[in-house]
Amino acid sequence: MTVIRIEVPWEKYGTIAYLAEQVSMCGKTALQKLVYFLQEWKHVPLGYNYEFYTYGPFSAALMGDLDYTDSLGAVRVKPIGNGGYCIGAGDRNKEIQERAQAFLSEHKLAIDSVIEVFGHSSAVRLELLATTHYAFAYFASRNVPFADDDVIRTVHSLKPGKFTDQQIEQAVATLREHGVIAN
Amino acid sequence: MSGDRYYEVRDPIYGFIKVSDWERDIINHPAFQRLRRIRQLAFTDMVYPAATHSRFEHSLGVMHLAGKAYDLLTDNPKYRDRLKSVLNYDDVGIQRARRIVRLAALLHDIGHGPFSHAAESLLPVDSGKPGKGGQPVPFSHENYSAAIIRTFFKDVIDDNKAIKTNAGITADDVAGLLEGDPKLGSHLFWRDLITSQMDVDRMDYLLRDSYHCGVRYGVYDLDRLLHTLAITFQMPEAHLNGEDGTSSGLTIGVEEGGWHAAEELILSRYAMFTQVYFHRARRAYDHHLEQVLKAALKGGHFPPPDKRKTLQEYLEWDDWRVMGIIASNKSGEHGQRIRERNHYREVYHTDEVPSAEALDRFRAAAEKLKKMVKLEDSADKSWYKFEKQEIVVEKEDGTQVSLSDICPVVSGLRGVKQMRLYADHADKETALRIVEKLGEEKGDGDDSHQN
Repeated sequence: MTVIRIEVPWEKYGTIAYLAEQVSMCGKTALQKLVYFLQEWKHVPLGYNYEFYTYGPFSAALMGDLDYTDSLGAVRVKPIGNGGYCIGAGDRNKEIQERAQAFLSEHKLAIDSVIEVFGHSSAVRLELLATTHYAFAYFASRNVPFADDDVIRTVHSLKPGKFTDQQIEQAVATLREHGVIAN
Repeated sequence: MSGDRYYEVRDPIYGFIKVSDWERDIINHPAFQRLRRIRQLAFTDMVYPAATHSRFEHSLGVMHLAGKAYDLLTDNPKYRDRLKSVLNYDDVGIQRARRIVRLAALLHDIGHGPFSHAAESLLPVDSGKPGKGGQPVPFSHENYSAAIIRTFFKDVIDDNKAIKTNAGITADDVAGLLEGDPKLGSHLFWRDLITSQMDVDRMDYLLRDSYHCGVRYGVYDLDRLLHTLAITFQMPEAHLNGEDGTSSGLTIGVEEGGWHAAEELILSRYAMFTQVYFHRARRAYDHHLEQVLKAALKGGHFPPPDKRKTLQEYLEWDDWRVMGIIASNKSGEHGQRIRERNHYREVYHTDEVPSAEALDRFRAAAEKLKKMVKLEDSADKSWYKFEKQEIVVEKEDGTQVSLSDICPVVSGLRGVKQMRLYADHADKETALRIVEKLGEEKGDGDDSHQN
């Protein structure tokens, strides 16, 4: 019987390390949404399962891995008061990236694209963009015709009172402009 | 609820659990009665002999706690006002949501395979779902739960006269809450009560598993925790970017006066994980069981939850059927190991939070042991894996903080990422000597090896 070898998921830890090095992430929301778009838009095979919680699309496993990469020294998760955190590169950031070198090289263009489009967005904007994408993907997966109004209505119901119609429309336009969602 | 008639069921954890007429109809459904034949903790009784309790009693317990938590939260005028002002609830909506939450709690585990999480790895891939970054996505037992509710419980929920009269709740509402269906909109908020870092599912299983195992690790102050639950606001990250964070959504948290109870819950979870759920012998039996099932299942996996026929086939799998296979001498080497309690033995493990170097040493040990290694295991493979916990605490001044920020104990806790190697009992001593020699050669000191 073949023994299944457990592979350490260096590609996950290396990607988190790379994002921490490249992006000034204040708040864990930023990491959550960047990885969400890495998977959902650029299909980078990180394997995180996202579910919809009150924060929008969320992966508990990603939070666990963020904590572990902090213990590895790849990132530094620093509390900055009032419940906020900043995620930066740790002392062993480069070393952990090197362990994922093949993966990061293969997906560098994709990761850099996501950073370019979303890396400078605020936490609130990322929440809006990710929630809008999640709503869009929900309708798309059902193989039934739908319009932008359906997406807008769903985002409103998921986040009552948080975003205006105009903000959601702009989010749809941004996602469409960058090819994250179809026309 | 007006017009409801209640029954009482004895329970070793809560004394009595109240069940309404229509909840009883659901409990009496054959698909729910099947949970009597699904063990909560697989073969943990190989380590803790009394751990033979079932998903049936656990499901009743979760429903009981969901109802209690819901009532305590919605009876609080401050939280009731928040539901109304932020999520647009009215009094009728609050009553309706209560029913949905209780039903979702009752049915949250209806889709479990035999021996619960031990069967999770044998669920098929969902070919209709976009991959996680291109990777195939396996079904989860939650997918099965939602499908079973929509298919087999539709009549008893949708056509239940009591519900139709009072609230018009459908099986789709219940399944949608468990799945996190965006169609439910702001009602998804209640999902936090059933599946989150501080949900009623873990509140029940920690106490229940602890009781049946005969340990105290899972005991925490449930009453205090329930009475200090809060409907609070999400952590205000927006202000970090110079934006107004006051329009944050709602989440389930805990009042400042109850944060020690939340701390206790987290510590209980950690201790139960390391001592029970991830116990080295229990994990060996998870593996043996998985091999037995793989050989018994057509194609090596369970039928998918996409049709009534395949769901019915799935529901025909329970612990009794698997035990029959194990007892019948048709279950191969792994069935024999289960019958004779001759499990693989642990011969090497890393620390609970291994460094990068410790992970390298793990791989070196596996390579040195070569064919003696029968099983590699990792805490990440366990459904119960213990990860960093984030719970929102609402302070007396109305602001929110993360529990990690005010509780040094929780702040210091890390998720467990331990990895293990196993060998046959006959090779154990030889393997231990090899691993010990490897440690001496490399001069390491922070990894240990044991049986």
